[in-house]
Order: sequence, then structure tokens, then C-alpha cells
Amino acid sequence: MEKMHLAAGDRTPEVILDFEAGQFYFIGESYPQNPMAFFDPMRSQLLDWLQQGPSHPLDFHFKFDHLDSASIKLVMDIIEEIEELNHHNKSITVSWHYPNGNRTLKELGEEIATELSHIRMAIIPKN
Amino acid sequence: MNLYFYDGPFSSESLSIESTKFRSIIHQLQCGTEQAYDLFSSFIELFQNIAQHARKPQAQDTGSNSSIALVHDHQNRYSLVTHNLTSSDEGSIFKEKLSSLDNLKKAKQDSTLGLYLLMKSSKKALSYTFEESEYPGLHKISLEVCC
Repeated sequence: MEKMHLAAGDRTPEVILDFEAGQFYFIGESYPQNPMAFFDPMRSQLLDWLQQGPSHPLDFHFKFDHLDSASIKLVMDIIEEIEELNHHNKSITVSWHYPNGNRTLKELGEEIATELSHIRMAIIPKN
Repeated sequence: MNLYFYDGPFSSESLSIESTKFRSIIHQLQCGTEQAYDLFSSFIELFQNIAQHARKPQAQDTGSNSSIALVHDHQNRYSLVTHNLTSSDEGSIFKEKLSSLDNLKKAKQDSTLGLYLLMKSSKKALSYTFEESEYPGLHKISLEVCC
């Protein structure tokens, strides 16, 4: 599948879905006007592709600086779906990068991580 | 001291403008990184909360009934305070929502993620008042988040 790259907007994150390389990035701030309209197309594309059962290692990087509640829900949905698909591909890693000093994003990452039972999500501070 | 006040339209478009203004105000404050993050996050949630849930009276030309303000107190704390109208039966529902903010998973299930975020960002328990208004079927609700 062709690589997808969305540049960051005023209220939307940069998104890179590099299927061939198995590298997936969500970077920046997310409080879109219409969160569903922003996240759903990429989520569908990603999940359709994951369901085909790619066998190479996959790395998901969530590097948010700010997330509103609607975005948190959709990101949690994506992570939960990645976890379900992890049954077929054991080489999936997920990392949650939070800005140093952003306690709320750090704790959100930790709470999401505790809900995951099939994959380990690394919580990493970034400067 | 009032550092920021807004009582214009609470729409997604105005959030774009006001969030930029609010961010520049935060940058000028003598506050720490964590406090700045919490203030910005709380501002976004409170603004969106009003945009999505505030009710308007049926009477025309009543002016703005919704506002959001940033206040600085003598203990170097910053509070975000909102006022808006809501349905009169919302009081008990809101109280119940606040009392059941246990964890992220439950907040997601209960569709209370916004309140959960505010609770996490606030240095003390979220406080609110719920008072009668001059409009039938509507009450005034005010919410305060201390960062």
C-alpha cells in the first residue's frame, strides 16, 4: 500500500503511515474541528491493511504534544485495534512519547498501557 | 486578576482563533511547563464543552450567556472559570458524572473523557455551581479548574 503522509495542520497532527517500512507516526497537536472526519479515513486504511496480516515488524509512534478528549478516544480505539491484530503479528511495538513536563499526557499513556494485555507500550519522554 | 476573558461565539472556528490567543497569553505568564500544558489542555476542553453542551434561551437578543476566563490568584495559581446555561435537569447528571470519574477506561465508556482530562489537569477537585436562571427550563452552571 502506498505511503500516506499528512502534514500537520493548525489543530491536527502530522501523520505518516509507511506500510512498506512498517513505521507509523502521529506527531503534534490534535484537537480537530471534526475528529471523526480526520481520524476515520486513516484508521480504516490502516486497519484494512493490518487485517491482511503483514508479517514484517511494525512500529507505531504516538508523539503528541496535545490531545483533546475526542482525539484521545479515537487514538485509544486505534491502539486497542492494533492490540487485537497483534495476535497475528507478534512483532508490533507501540511507543507513546510525551513532552517532558506534560504530566497529563504521561499519565494518559501509562493508563492506556495498563489496559493493554497483548502488547507492551513504551512510555518515553521527549524534549 | 483577570488575564483573559471571552464571551463571543463558542464555535469550532472561534476555538482556532482563541486557542492561538490563549497560547500566547500562557507564554507570557510566569508559570512552569506542567502548569502551561495543563492550562492549555483545560482551555481546549472547557471551550469545547461550552460549544457542544451550552444551551441558549429561546428568547432572541439575550446577549452572550457563555464565557471563559483565566484568573490569577495571590497564591500564584491560575484558574479557568466558565459560565454557561444548561438544561435544568443537567445538575444531577453532572454531579453523577463528576463522582464517577474513576479511570480512563471508565471515562471512555461513560463518554466523560473531557471531564476526566479536566480532573487530571486540575490541582484541586473540580468545583462547580448550579443556579437558577431567569430562563425557563435552563440553569446557570459555572465550572472552575485550578492549574
